[in-house]
Amino acid sequence: MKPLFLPADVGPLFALYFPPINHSVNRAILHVPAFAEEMNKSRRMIALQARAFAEQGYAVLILDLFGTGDSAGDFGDATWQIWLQNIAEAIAWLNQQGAQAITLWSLRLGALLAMDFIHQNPGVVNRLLLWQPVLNGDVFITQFLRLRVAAAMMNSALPQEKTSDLKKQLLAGQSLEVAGYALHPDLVRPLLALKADCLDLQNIKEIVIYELAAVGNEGKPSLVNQQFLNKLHSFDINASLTVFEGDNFWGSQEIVTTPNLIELTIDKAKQWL
Amino acid sequence: MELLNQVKAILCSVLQVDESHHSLTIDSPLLGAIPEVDSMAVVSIITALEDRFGFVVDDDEIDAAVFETVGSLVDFVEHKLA
Repeated sequence: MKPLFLPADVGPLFALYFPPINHSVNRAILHVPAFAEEMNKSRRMIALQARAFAEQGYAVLILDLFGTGDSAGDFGDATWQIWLQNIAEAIAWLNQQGAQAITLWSLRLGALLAMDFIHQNPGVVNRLLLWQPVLNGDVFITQFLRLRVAAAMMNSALPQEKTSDLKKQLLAGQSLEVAGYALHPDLVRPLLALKADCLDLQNIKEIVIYELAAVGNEGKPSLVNQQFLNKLHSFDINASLTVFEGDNFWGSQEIVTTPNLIELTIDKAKQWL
Repeated sequence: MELLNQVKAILCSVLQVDESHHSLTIDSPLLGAIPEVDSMAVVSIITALEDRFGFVVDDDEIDAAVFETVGSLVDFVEHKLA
């Protein structure tokens, strides 16, 4: 594993590169990270999966997007457009190393970033691997803004706000701080309008979705994911949806891992050879 | 009772407490009593309840009184399902 800084328009981006073991760089996997605290919580699990992929002969790159982790910039200056550009820059770097087939591997909100990238750059990405994907930007932002509403609920000295008012402030071009993260209006505005769209995914060779088993759902996938899968199939897109058991490693209080998901994912990746 | 168990299962899953070791009852206080119940956990609980029961929680329903005890949370879910 090699830590490195990728040259990018907006300044150097920190990345971890896992060169393929006993294999030339041909097939590469780029991780598209989760948002804010979910990215921090999932770091260990993502690194473990990256190592497992490298052992299967994949070149793997884990990127800190602009304004996150050890990359240049402040979170409050990050916009959706900059992050899309970061994905392009990371893929260009992998291509320079010799990568031909690119898989995007996302966690949570990374799914929408990956799909928006595919929408704007058709033909670049080969496969899409989605871990617990966020498929609706508006719903995700509402849930994130609730952190501020919930913090106010627990502290009567803070103004009692509603997510709908907070959204209006962002749409009006105001920055907003939520759970210690300054949100740039141009990070949130494109996201509010974004939903997973099957039309963009027709040239993707395969889409693999993993979803954490929900309490009381008896191993069945959520309705949202099932509907997305059905829609992909109706477009004749090769797609699968697997429910896994384990801990919510992107949202838990402590840092946890879910080895079961790594095993399932590697079993799938072996079939890609 | 069935609803109580479902809500308890969600609480244990979000708060990562072992159900067998942590005997939550209907009277167990949550907010201010269990350190794991912070704003992040409150949002996770709301999201998990929405996913599980298929209702949508409005902003003005996010109220400290709902998270006072296990029982008040169960009452809230009951009210939403009614």
